[in-house]
Amino acid sequence: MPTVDYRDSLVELALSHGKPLERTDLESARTRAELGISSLDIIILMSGFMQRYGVADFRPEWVPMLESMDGICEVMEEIVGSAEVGK
Amino acid sequence: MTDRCQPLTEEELKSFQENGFVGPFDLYEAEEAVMKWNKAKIEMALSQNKPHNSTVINYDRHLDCDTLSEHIARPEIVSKLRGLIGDDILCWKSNIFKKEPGEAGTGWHQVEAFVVGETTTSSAPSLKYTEESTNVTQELTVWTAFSPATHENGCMTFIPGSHKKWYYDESKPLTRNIESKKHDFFGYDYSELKLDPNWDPDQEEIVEMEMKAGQFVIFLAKCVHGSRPNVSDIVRQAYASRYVAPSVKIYENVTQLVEFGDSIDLDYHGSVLVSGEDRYGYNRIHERNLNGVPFNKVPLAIP
Repeated sequence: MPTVDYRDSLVELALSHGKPLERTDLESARTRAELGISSLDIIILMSGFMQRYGVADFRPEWVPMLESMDGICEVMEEIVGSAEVGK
Repeated sequence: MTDRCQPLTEEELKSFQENGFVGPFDLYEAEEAVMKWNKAKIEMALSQNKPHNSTVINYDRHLDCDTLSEHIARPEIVSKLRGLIGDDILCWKSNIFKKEPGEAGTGWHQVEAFVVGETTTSSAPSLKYTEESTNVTQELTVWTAFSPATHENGCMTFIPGSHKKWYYDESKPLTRNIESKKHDFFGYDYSELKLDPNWDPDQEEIVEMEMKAGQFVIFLAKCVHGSRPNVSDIVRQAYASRYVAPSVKIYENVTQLVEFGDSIDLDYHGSVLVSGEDRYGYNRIHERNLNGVPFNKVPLAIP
């Protein structure tokens, strides 16, 4: 489980990509599909998150993790972790 | 040459001629297949060179996704196509076939000139056959499973031997209705095209093509085929690449496709010569994908 709650970051990230999400949507959602985000759009959102942290390589093993809300947060944590390793 | 690059055996050729399909064959290891699809999805999502902007018509992503560009010209595939279509082979189209848990099966259908949707017609089909061929066929589809494809999650189904006869009139127009359960061919009711309204394909002998992730099957689009519903909780992910001989004219007089409630312009379209030569010059050929990466052409003698 991620040590930081990335849900606020996801709300903000989605908004910046023109996909308004409410924090309450994220509280109740367990899957990406429940958020109404397509499997390709979540990759675009994560790519935007990676850019913020200067992480270049989108790992193929992240793709299936992006199907669940917990998985999305784990990927976000890994992205932040990758950025810290690269510092 | 690896075992997987062996041409079809005499027995497999005979089976194809009898049934209209042959396989499954091993291409990737299961884990490798899943990882390749993950990679392809990343490329699709982040592509800067999309052939078109439709997310409904998911054709031809082999033109902008390097992983799929490589896939359509795999020697394991091409070596088997040659025994059926000849040495000269174009890849003219690809489709993504994803079936989510709970999705219905795909209705029976049978095509050859690919008159599907609202823009292609019998006078302007997707494919125009310009000559008789001494080869077994001039058109083939390769359907690769990038997840397991099982009875439960929606494997392909075939009616063996059905390529020998027309059961449907593909030249007739189809009506689209996404609300109707009868419209089980991507929103169309393909049974509207049945030549004999009393013929019930479900009463025929049916082969279920269960496949492991990483396997592929080769079939004639004229062989009546469909798929099972996905009653599992596992997504069925497949990718079809379609091939013709260069004597076939592709999208002649077709500039736009209107299908599944969306449309795309075909300005981007071109075929990929995956084997041999194009001695006809009928079709635009892409030597590189839209990212500028050269396509592979499988040498006639596979090392």
